[in-house]
Amino acid sequence: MSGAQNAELIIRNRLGFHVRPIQRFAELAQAFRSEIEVRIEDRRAPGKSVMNLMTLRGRHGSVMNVTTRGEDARQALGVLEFLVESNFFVENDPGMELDPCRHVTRLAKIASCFNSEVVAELNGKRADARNVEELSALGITPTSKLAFHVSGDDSEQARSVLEKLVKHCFYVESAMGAQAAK
Amino acid sequence: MQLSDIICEEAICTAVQVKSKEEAVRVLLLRLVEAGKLAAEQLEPVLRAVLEREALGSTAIGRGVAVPHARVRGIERTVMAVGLSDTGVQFDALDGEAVHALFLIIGPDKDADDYLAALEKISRLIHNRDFRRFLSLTRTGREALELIAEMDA
Repeated sequence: MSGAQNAELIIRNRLGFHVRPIQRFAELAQAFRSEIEVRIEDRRAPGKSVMNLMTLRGRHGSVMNVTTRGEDARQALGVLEFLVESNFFVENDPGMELDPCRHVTRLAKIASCFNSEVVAELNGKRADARNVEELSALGITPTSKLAFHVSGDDSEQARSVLEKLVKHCFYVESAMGAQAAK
Repeated sequence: MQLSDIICEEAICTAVQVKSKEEAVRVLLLRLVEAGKLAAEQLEPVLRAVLEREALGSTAIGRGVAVPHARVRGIERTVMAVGLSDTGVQFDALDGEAVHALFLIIGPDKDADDYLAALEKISRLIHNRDFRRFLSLTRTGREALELIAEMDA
């Protein structure tokens, strides 16, 4: 059991910690066994509950303090920190530059938060999920249905987080909307 | 800001009969148009904006509650409509449950403050089991608004 991990993060997206960021935060937090707490000013909420997080009223520029406690505290904090620093993957802020390969970099970054070996498979081809170049060679698009081969002490959490990522089209919003419209 | 300041009483529908997300949102937007809070020509674009937002992930937040919303250019101030349904509306909730209370928030493109404050207040209210029970028992817009005003104090 590792100790508590903590990070102070700044909410940078224009509309603050609203429903979409909160849902993504809670959904990824739920993949971990650790206890997760979020504090904004003097308001606190458990990080796995959408409804509780909604009471935090995080604005653009608010400092968000995230504490994780438990066996996978480090991995949980790594994933959640990346989510917050990536503007919760919200993509409709004006003037935002969107990397066309962001699905690949998101996958690699998230896979590297875990101890486990993660191999991504698409159409019979395999790649180390932490390696952007290898992943790019697979020809992944945001709607690709990747399979993962995960082995290691945190494989359950890694698999859960990565499957959510794929389920939501790597949170590439243009692809999410298009998929829902089908 | 109090919720009762932004909720349009005429747009509280205590017996939503439709089953789908799109129909339910349309019913509430029509009420806002009838109450003069939304221009008739804005109905379709706002409906589209709400559904586009839903496509990025359902706004059902658990406990049978959804907060569909859109920020739209040309809207002067935040306005809310409320829909209650005994039978439930399918909202693609993460927990798979039907939604029995919809809080539809339409706000200006630029200002997020009222919107975040409204979300905070709604989530605090629906945490409260008494509120959820009493809300489901209200039969008129006036009753629902009075309940919200009293418990949001």
